[in-house]
Amino acid sequence: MGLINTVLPFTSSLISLIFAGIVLARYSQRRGTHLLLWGIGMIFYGIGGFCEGYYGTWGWNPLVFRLWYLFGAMLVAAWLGQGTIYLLFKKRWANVLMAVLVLASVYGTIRIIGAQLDPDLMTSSLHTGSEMSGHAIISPGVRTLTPFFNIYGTLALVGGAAYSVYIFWRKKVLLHRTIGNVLIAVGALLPAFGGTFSRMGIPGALYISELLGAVILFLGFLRAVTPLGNGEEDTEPGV
Amino acid sequence: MMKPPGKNPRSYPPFWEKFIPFFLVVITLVVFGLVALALAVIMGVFPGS
Repeated sequence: MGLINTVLPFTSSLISLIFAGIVLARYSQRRGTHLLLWGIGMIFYGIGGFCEGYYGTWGWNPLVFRLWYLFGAMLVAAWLGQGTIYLLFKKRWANVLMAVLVLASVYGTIRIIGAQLDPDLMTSSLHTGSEMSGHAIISPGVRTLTPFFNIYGTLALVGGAAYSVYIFWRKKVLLHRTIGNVLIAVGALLPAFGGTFSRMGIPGALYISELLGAVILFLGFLRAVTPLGNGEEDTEPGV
Repeated sequence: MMKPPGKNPRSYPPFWEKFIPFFLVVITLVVFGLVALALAVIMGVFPGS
């Protein structure tokens, strides 16, 4: 379990941050709010992984736990999903949803900063205590916020990728973007499954799924921005 | 020569033609399942993270 709780999350963090750098570099060249938000989202993913690796290596630290819960558990899916919202929706609606997300994120941050913690509770129910878990939060109403962010993020990111797959498939164009979005949808879903398996007491499920998720998201993005070389020009706006 | 209206001469390779509809159905079911699970967490029926 030692390697699973240290090497896996640190590797996941490294991959996420490299991915974030590439996306943000692309943003600096092409602009596009979706690229900026995906880059920010992957930084959050990287922070979450780093905190998990820190816990596995050096043990409990309340600041590290708060950073993990805020960025890794609460915000990452919603901010990645918000990038997809900017890609697929009219800017006015995307801006409205962005304002709501920012306000909700500020509220979530305040609640997490002020939350009472008990690390012993991470071994409650089926959790082994070797992985980080929101069970350490005692204050009521904090953990209840997270599913709202995750519902929004899942619908936006996975739903948006699936919608893109459908549109490109229907038009029979840009196969590389279709394949890329298939990978993005799968990669985005894996951490959600990992969290579910973790709650069922399957050791290592969360960290393994997060690493696989980061890798597959990265591959999906690279596939989506790299034409297949079959002569088809990538003239569609977006990624 | 003009192409007949409504005809799309493009197509995906056979594997992707078969895989994508299957993928879309599965992903839709999975997303609905995850959203239902998250709602169950909100209502306190299932333990949260």
